[in-house]
Amino acid sequence: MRSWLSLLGGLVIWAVHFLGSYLIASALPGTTTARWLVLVLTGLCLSAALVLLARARERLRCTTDELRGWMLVLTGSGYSLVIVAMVFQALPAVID
Amino acid sequence: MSGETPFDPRLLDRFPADPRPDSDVAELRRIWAAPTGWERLTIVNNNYVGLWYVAAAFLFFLLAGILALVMRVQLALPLLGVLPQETYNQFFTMHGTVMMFLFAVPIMEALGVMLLPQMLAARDLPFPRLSAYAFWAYFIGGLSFFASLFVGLAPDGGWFMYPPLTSMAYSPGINADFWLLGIGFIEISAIAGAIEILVGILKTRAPGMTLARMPLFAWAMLVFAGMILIAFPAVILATLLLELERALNWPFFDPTRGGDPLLWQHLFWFFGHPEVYIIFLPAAGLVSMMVASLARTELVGYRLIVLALLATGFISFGVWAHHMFTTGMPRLSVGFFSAASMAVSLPAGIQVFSWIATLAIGKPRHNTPTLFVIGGVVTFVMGGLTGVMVAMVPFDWQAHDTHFIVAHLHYVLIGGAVMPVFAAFYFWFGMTSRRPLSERLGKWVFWLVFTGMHLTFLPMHLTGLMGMPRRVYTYLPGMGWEWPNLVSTMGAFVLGGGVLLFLVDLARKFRFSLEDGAGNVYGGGTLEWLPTGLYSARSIPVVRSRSPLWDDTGLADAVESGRYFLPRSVTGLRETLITSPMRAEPQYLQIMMGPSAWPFLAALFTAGFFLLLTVQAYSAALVCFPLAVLSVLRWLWDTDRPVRDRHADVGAGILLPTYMTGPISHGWWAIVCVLVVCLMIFAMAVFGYAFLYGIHPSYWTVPQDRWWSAPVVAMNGGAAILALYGRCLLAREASTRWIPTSAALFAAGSLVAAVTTDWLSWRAEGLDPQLTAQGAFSYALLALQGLLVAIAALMALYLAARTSRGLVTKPANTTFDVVVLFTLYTASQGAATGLLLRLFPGGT
Repeated sequence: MRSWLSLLGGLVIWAVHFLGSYLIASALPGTTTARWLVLVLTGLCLSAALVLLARARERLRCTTDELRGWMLVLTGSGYSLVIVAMVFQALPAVID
Repeated sequence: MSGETPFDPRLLDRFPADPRPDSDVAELRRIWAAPTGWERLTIVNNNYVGLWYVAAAFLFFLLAGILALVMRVQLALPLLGVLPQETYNQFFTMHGTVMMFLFAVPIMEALGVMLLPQMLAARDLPFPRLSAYAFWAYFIGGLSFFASLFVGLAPDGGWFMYPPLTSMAYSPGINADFWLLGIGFIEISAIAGAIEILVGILKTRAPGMTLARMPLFAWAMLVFAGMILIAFPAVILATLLLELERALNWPFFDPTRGGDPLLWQHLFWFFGHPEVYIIFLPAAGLVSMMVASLARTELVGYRLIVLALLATGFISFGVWAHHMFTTGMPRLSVGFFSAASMAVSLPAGIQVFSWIATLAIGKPRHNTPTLFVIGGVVTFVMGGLTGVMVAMVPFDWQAHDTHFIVAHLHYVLIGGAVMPVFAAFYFWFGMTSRRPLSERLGKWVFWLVFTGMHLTFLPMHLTGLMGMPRRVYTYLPGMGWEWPNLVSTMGAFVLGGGVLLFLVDLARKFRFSLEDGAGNVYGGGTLEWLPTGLYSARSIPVVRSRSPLWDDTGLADAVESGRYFLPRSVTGLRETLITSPMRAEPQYLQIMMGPSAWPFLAALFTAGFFLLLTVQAYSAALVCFPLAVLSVLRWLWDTDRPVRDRHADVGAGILLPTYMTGPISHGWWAIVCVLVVCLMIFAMAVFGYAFLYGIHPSYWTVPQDRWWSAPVVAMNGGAAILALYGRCLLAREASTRWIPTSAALFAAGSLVAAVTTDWLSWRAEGLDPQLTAQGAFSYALLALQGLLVAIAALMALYLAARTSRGLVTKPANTTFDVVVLFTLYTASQGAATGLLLRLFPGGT
């Protein structure tokens, strides 16, 4: 289970970011508060993704197991992809 | 993460072992032999069920295609009178519905059923009777649904059936009910197939086939199955709610009583957008596999494609409201969906670039599957570009509901699914047919389909931007739409001609054979190309690379000589290996079920129940329902029977258990998948409840007697504790046969008491489901809980029946575990429902 959570961790963080942004925008439509809350959420999610990416890279340096190494590279790539996606997705909160 | 299980991986070095005698093969053939004559209806083997599934899906493709041709004739010129307006509405609704629900998703499931066991070197999918049930339910339900066209009762509200058009006020006939009940039922069949595929991919792979060595089609189908479990519950709930509104006047979508038509759109598109990726991803998986073989080189970017599949699976759930840009949603929300809709093109692009790179560095030949692959990629990319265009909100405001969208969706679906499926037909044809399809005719088929497709849909971009709406049965002259529509119609017939030529070639060439097929015509390197029979490969190999047949040229002979796992039937029954999800380490021997009439009968009676409800033949429906339930129970009765020998030699002296319970067992995984579906239905219902409160809070009243939630939660909690206690008692040696089962029975009783209390308390408070959406949703949630409680009670009685026959083994039993898990979930949902309805909205 841990391995799956690790593999899908980036995408789970993306899902939290997206769902959170959508719920905030729906609950507080048309307000500046919603934009700031989304930016805070984005900051938190980006930080989580960056920390977990760094940890994945550290674990990759230490592993000798082929499958584990493969999965860690996949995990790291996933975090990288979602970091880009979350930055892009937060842009509506910044652009007026 | 060294070993995933206690299995010592060094044991795999014993293979290839010594060759086995030919008498083992004769025994395998006898055990796996298919019934003949009328008994073919009892077949459960994936080779037959998969073939029938593919054939049925293709039949629906042809039927929906014919509808499209007639529609194109109607639109060829202005004010043509080929089809009256009402009939045209039924035609476009049926075209879309049949293509999306009866062709696009089922063909992918069908190819999965047919190809996956061989690709993974499993003897069959883990629940063969479930696949047979899923197929027959789909086939009988689908044909009956299509037949509604011939009696003028086909649904006519568009394939997404928006209320209020489809509410009783504007659709008083039973046309809409055909869609709601028919599609709701067919989606249950699709979920059954998805569970089968998910468990099969994670638990029945050949030893050594780690996640890093899994065929990309298996990765794609894994994501496909997971997406179905998350997405399909939304449309099941939506169809249920609309049917309740139509039948009982419960106002979920009626804004005059607190409901909202937008709720339907949210629920439908939460399913509807992932649906198109559910269609695309398996096709992409097929393309990834074919591209490598056709280019005669290793695929470029295997790991990136895996990432792309997983990312698409997630991100596609974040774009649903791009179908609703014109509904007046809050601007910021709309912005998020727009951004996500653009972001989702990233993983698709990764795959496309990978395919291009593979073709560029390889040596592709000019053959039919290569043409379809390249043609599909070109077409899909064009559709993807228009997709990014409509992801931009201001552009979508102009293009929404015009033929521009029709063009976009056909480009992505034909390019991203239909052409890859055609390529797959040519590529894998030799697995099941003595003769391959004709290369000469195949090239004609491709060019007719490709040219026809572009002739039909390219002009639609223009007509759409010139203002021609969707779903109109004619148009006035002088709008400038005449020439593009005429060209589209000609193109449609060119496309149809290509499909017809394919059918001719199919009729000439297809001769079913598993052991004597035309073979690996295009040089694939994965395990489905091992010599096979109905039992799949003679022995289950140890996999040491992604393309085992390319990397070990002696593998096929070694497998055929029985030098790997399971060279014979150990127990005299149908068997396969269950392996661990990540590293595919052998865990136990699964005894598989053989032919049975019960899945067919269960499907027949289930279809009968839903169809009779649709035509309002309630008495007959009430007869079908218990027959369907009894058929399912009778089918299950034969399962979960441990064999005499608790361990078996599966090859090279390796002993594995023959029975396993708990989180390792495939039965446990299946019930967890079912519970995920139940949880999603509940989550969507909670969303709907909260959404309607948010939209129309003035129709909401604060619940009075909140204290009722305490006994409801307590009774549900009691049920959960009793179920867990029963499980503990089963493990104790001192427990008699009936004590654990009694605990399970009492648990079910507690669930019944909880939901009855909840229901009666709301009745006492005077909540009327017809008066407000709050009332309707409250009773809908209670009805949902009631349904689960009824199932839990039935399961407990079934467990009691098995106990009475001494079939509940100690210290652990899969049936018992399944009942406990379901009871635990039902209790949790019951408690959550009791709290939600009384605590939300807050206030006094």
